[in-house]
Amino acid sequence: MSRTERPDHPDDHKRFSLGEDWIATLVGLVLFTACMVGLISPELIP
Amino acid sequence: MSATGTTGSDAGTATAPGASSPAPTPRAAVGWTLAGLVIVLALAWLVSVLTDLVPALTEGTGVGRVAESIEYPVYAIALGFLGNAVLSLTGVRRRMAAAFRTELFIKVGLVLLGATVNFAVVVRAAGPAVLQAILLITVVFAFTWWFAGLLGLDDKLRALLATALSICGVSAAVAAAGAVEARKEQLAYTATLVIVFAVPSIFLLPWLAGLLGLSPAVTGAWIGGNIDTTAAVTAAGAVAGEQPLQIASIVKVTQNALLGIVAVLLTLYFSFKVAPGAGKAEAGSGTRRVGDRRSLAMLWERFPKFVLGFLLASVVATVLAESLPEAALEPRLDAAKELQTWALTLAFVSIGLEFNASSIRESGWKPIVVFAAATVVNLVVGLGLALLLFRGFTF
Repeated sequence: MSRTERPDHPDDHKRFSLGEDWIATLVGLVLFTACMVGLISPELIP
Repeated sequence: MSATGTTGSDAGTATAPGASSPAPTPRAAVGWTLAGLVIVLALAWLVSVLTDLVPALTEGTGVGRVAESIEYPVYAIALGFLGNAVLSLTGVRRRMAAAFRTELFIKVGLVLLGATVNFAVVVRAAGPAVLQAILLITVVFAFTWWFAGLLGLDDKLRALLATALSICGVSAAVAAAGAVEARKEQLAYTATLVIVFAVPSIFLLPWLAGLLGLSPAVTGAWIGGNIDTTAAVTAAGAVAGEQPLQIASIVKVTQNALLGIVAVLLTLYFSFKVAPGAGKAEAGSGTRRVGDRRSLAMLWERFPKFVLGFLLASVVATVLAESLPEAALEPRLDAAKELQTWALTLAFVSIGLEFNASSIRESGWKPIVVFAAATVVNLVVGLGLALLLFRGFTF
């Protein structure tokens, strides 16, 4: 069976989820860096 | 949730093939997603209000002590389920599902959690964590595979259940589904089972750990090794306390890191043993061997990248702790911790919001029996390993 004949193959998620993994990592590190250099202080966070 | 979020929304679509409502236009879809995001944020804000307000209002009353002991994950999950019920009744929950991204929020939270875990703790816990992960994954995977085979379940569903139970829940099931070419319905069903079993564990395991008088490290190792999905591990760790949360996160992150190896082994097994025809058709691949370039590429592809962020944040925070005066470092770490609590709250609210029970009804009782039996095995073996490997651990 070729790839195009597989209608319900869950690889559709995989592509997005891998990108999301990197996005979460980068967002986490950007927020962490912003805290460590003093851009975000506890008073700014509700 | 990469896994959970995408799967969560797909869990919905997969259970309603040929849904009657037409697909929304891209603009409408963005609108629904933004509306969903506003709801997630509003519920998370409400969690922070309740966490502060309820103990203050009940102080000195009969329920004051109980209210004081309720941690923010409890409010977050409860409000998530409440929001789920309201949005489901009004028929808009599935349209907003793209905003309920448990796994995205949990990974951001875990990277920030790295800032509060001294790297020395990571290094000291890494040895027992790796050993526990390898032993527990092997025992739970083998038991689940064997027991599901005994009940006559399909090999692909066996692989999904065994991977989800032994490694890291929905993310693992997504990786296994790609490796064995499972159907979306099987993935949606496994994802739902993971959440059904994980949510009670968030409250049950910390309570049992207290009842058994387990140390913070053993409690964390038991929680991290047992609860399937990373978000629920973090929630249970947060309920149990700060030190159990640190060890639970390290143990779970270690299991996450081993996911790639299991995905490669599953692909090889299904290529050679279960579906040799399908294996050869995979991307025109022909025969795949351990250590060949595509297997190595798959190892990297399946490796959870947030683990790198967690380690980097821990290393940087540890170095800063040695070089900056405490008065300068403390407010920065406090800010990182506040943001971490926000990210985890968003994730816990999303657990409740994206839960979808409909696929459970369609797959019969056998997978539920498999999941329940394997959970008991996981609990017992996990407790033994946590006691053996983390009993003498100090912070």
